[in-house]
Amino acid sequence: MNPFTYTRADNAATAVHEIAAGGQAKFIAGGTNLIDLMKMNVEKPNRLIDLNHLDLQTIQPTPDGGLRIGALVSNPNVAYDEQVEPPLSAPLPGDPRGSLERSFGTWRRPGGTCCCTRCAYFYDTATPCNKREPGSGCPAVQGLNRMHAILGTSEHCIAVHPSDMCVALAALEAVVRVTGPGGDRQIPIAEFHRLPADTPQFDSTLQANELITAVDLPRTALPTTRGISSFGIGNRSHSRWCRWRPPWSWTVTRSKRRACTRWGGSTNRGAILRPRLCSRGRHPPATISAGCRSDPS
Amino acid sequence: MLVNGTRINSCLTLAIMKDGQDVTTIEGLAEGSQLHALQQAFIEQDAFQCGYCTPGQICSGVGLIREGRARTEDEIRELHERKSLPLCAYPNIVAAIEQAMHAAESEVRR
Repeated sequence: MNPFTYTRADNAATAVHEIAAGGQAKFIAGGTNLIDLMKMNVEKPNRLIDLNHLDLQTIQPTPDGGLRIGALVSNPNVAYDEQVEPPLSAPLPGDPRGSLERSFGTWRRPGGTCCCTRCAYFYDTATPCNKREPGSGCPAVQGLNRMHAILGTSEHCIAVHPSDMCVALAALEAVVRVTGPGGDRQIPIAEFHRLPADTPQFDSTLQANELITAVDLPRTALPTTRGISSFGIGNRSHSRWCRWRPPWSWTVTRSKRRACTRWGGSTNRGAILRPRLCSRGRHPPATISAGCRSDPS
Repeated sequence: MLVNGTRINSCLTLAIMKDGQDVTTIEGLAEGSQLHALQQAFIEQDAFQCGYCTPGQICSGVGLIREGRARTEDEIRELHERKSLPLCAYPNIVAAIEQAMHAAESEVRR
């Protein structure tokens, strides 16, 4: 059993101070990823710092006409907010949330941004894993890897990032706002996640003891004539994000199923760009040929 | 379960994190011997098999109805929190939620 202490932080400064105090401390908000990992003994913090009482629970317009989604706004509240999904003339089939996020109604936006891979070897502490224990090896490379990444991998790790929403955030060019011992900064979502390379133990470019406070959506990300439908089609000024993966397959992340489709000119000719890749990091802006399989099952 | 009326996965939170909040589990839905409308609907629609996930299905359904976003069968299917189970009872679960939802609307109109 892994004993741990629990502390509530009342503001961001206190939270940053608490986690900087040392030890194996972790922030906890929605808890849907961290508690899962604690139960599996993947994460073994000796201190938990509860962020749920921070003043980060609102969605506000930004000066440039975009939206600032507070770090503690749950996914359902984001989906239901009238600033995110304004009233529409035609009824839409349902809710746009990705299946992973919908499965956990308490999933907070940053948690979805920071959620860990669902790789079975990462979860199984009886197996080597370069993400859990750097240098121990990656059994997934030669093992059961049907649901692992096909692009952006390294010899050290082929894990996949499980979040639907992060793909959408990348297509919408969101910006992650963080605070930490060094002050406040902003990280474009495309620079937030890391490719594994030879350091798969680092999932993101968050610095030690930094805390996400909000995610900004730029003005061009907001719906114009349509909201984001349950079929995952979002309308931007120049790109559309389509989700082909059925919503129930929350444990499965298929890189070929989620893509950002960029529409060119007035003819609506599109090329599928940036299939969802390895767990972290940027996607090379390569155009995938029409021959790319898209298994809708 | 429901925390302040909102459905959450109780297995992925800590009790201490909900200190001071209103928590309702499946045991708290009935009023004495009077079953909650959704519990009654689950029985009438035969909406469970082994019953292991049923408390969660019902609590999630109560939360879903309270959210007021689902209006049609398709919307119930989309917004109801599934348990990632290959469950044959899902059509009956949807029917039970629909039944309870309409009963709640009738009650409000009355």
